[in-house]
This record gives sequence, structure tokens and C-alpha cells, in this order.
Amino acid sequence: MKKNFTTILLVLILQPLFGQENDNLSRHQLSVDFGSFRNRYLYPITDIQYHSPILKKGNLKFSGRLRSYGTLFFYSKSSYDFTPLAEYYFGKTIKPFYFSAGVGLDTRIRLVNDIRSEATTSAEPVISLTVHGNHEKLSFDAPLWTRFYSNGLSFSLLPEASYQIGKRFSLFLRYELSYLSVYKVSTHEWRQDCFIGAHILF
Amino acid sequence: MTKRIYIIIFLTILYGCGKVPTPEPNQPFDHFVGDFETGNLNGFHFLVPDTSINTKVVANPVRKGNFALKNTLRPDDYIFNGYRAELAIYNCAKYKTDVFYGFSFMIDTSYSNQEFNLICQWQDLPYYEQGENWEPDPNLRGSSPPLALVYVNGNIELKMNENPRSNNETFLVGNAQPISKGQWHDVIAHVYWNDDNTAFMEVWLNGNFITPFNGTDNKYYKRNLFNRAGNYFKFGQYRGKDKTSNTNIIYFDEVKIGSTFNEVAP
Repeated sequence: MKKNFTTILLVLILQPLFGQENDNLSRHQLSVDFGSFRNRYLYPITDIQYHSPILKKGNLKFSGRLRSYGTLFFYSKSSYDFTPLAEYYFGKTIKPFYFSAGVGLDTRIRLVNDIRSEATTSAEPVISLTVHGNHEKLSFDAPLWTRFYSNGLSFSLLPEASYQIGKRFSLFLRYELSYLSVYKVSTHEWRQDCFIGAHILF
Repeated sequence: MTKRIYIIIFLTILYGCGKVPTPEPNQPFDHFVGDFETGNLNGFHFLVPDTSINTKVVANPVRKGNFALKNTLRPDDYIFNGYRAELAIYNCAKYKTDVFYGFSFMIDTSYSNQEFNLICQWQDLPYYEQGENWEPDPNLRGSSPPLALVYVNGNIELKMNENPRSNNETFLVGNAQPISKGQWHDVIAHVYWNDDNTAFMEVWLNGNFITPFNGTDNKYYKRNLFNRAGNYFKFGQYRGKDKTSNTNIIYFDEVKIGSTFNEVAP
């Protein structure tokens, strides 16, 4: 009870500090980005993402991310990930803080033809929980993705901060921290990646 | 009843999913015997321009048995982005495995170069499970292998590299060991592969440790995997981008990979 009261008080205090410049709920959004610094070395990764506007009925928003590995130029001969998501937004308008939750599929497409590779193409369900924030031209999103595998699961936190330049364009930085866990042998791995990119609203 | 159906559907979906993209530790590795006694080179993977010249099975000299490998590197033997004549063995240096490697080598008396020449190396692999592949564009790595034995200026040096982003930060482990040309030398390496500093190796040359004594034993602790995809083993001759000025010959015999010292000893 005390905790809830503190949270409400915090939101009330912070609310006037925030504006509502960001319009990414009502418009289509296309994003491109590239990275990344992996755990101990640089390895190029490129993303193209699409976010639909929020639907009038059902508060649903759809998105899809296509990630290519081993290149900064998007076309890859080795690996892609495709992640479509359907998210429910708790509210239809931009607020200083708002939340969304969704489900989707993380499809790993592995085209490597090397007998040393044990990578396989597969698809796993994803659950996404996201907190969004806005302050004038700044926006902040922190999705938490949980992926379910046949022998374990992973959690990925993907905090992203973007700065709006003009009505249609914003630049962003995203950090991805993943925790991959295998049940059977009780092993886990941390992975981190960094990205820089741009959102275009239309 | 409906709940149960949902649970069954959910479990079925999960069962059909792939595995977590991180290798499980202590997976079985391939034990290997390459003593050339069959007269052929079955079981090896080739990184040589011309197998009929670079990798010939010969009856003399031999370390043991009737045949050995004559490995020849000519000045223009350039393949896979380097001057090399190497044979590779896969699936033998996996994440969190404990492996013994053994081989014998003889530097031919005509060998005249003083510059570095990797006679064996444990090369890292792209993290395939996490989308990586050879030669990304742009290539931001280009590193020296995590572990190698280098013949240079008449000595054998055990070299490591900790930095996957660098090819000029290798460091010497123990002391350089003088090598006589025209004589067989036996190398045995015991390596525990890991991506943290619990990884170790202990290496013998002709039965004597070349890894330094650490106060307890001769295990040298240092991480030896750039990622959990593991490494793979190569032997022969590798000069990187540096062209050799002469044709160099090194003989190899009794190339083995196993779980114990005795399994790989010549």
C-alpha cells in the first residue's frame, strides 16, 4: 500500500515536467540502426524495424524487426532474425509514462554452411513488457523480452533513448542486455550489444 | 479441461522451439588419431593450395610407425587470406572441455627462415549460434589465435592472445625453447577451454614442462576462448600476411587428440 502510494506521488510530482511531443502512437514508424559491441569484440549487426500506429479498436500496435548479422549494409549471407510482435497499449495517448505488453515470435534464420556450426533455424515465442517515457523531444522505451526455448529461456532488456529532430525524424541509442539460461546444465551467459539509429514517422 | 488443452498446446510449442543460443558446457569432443599409417590424410580438413605438394605422406623420416607427414610451405602458397599450409581438426576444443593434444614435429635441416611460423594453433570460431560468420563486412576483428606454438629464430614459443580485436598483442608463456633441426620433438598440451580465467593449459616439450611453475603445478591460467563457440586445432605452417622467402619443410607425426596424457603421447 505504502509502495503504491509512493509510486503515485512520484508520478504526480514528475508529471508536470514532461511534455507530449512524441507522436509515435498515431503514426507509422520505420527505424534503421546498426551496431554493435558484443561482449569482447565488435561485430556488425543491422536492424530494420516497422511499428504500426495504434489501432482504434483494441489498443493494439504491431511491429516487426528484421536483424541481419555480419554486415552494416543489411544484406547478409549468413544470418537473420525476424521478430514480429503484437502489443497491447494501456492507453491510447502519449503520457509521461505508459506501458505496453505483447506477444510475438523470434525467428532465427541461420544460413551458414560450415560443418563447425551448430546453429539452426528456429522460432521461439516472445513475451514483451515495455515501459515508455516522454519528456518534450526525448523519449525512452525499455522493453523486456522473454524468449522461451526448448531447453531454457532468455531475458533481454532493450532500453532505448531517442531525441526528436523535426516532426518526422528522431535519432536513438539502444543498449541490449541479454541473459541466456539453460535449465538442464544450469549454465547461463550474459550478452550485450549497442546500437545507434534513426526513427522516421510517416 | 480447456486449461489442460492450453497447457498441452503451450508445451508442444515449446518442444518445437530451438535451443538457447549458447553452447552447453562439457559437450563431447572428437577424439582423433592422425598417425598417417593408412598412407592417406582422411579425417583432416585442408587449408593448403596444393595437397600433392604441401601435404605429402612420406616413409622417411618418421617418428613412429611407417609414415609421417611432410609439410611444405612455398613462398607463394597463399590461401584463405594468408600464407599457409595447414591441416585442421574440428570439434576438439569446445567450451568448458578438458582436452589433451599431442603431436611430433621435425624441422627439416634445410629450413632457413628466421621469421615467425605458427606450427600449430587453436583458432577461434565465429559465434555461429548468435548469428556470426567468417569475414563480416566490415571485418572488425582480425585477431591472432588465442593459443599457438610458434617456431621463430630456431626456438619454439608458446604464444597466447587475449584480445579478439588485436593481432599484435600476443604474449609469450614460459620461455622460448631451442629446437634442433633434423630431430623429432614431442609436444603434448593439456587445455581446459573456457571464456574466463578458470581456463588453463599445461604444455610439455619432449616430456618437460614449458608452461611455468605457478607454485603448485605447471598449469597456466588464462582465458582461452573469445566466445563459447570454442576453437579448432590446426597444424602445419602459417605465416599470416608475411611471405616466406624460402620453401620451408616441417615433418609431423603422431597427431592425436584425447582425454588423457597417455592417449595422445607418441
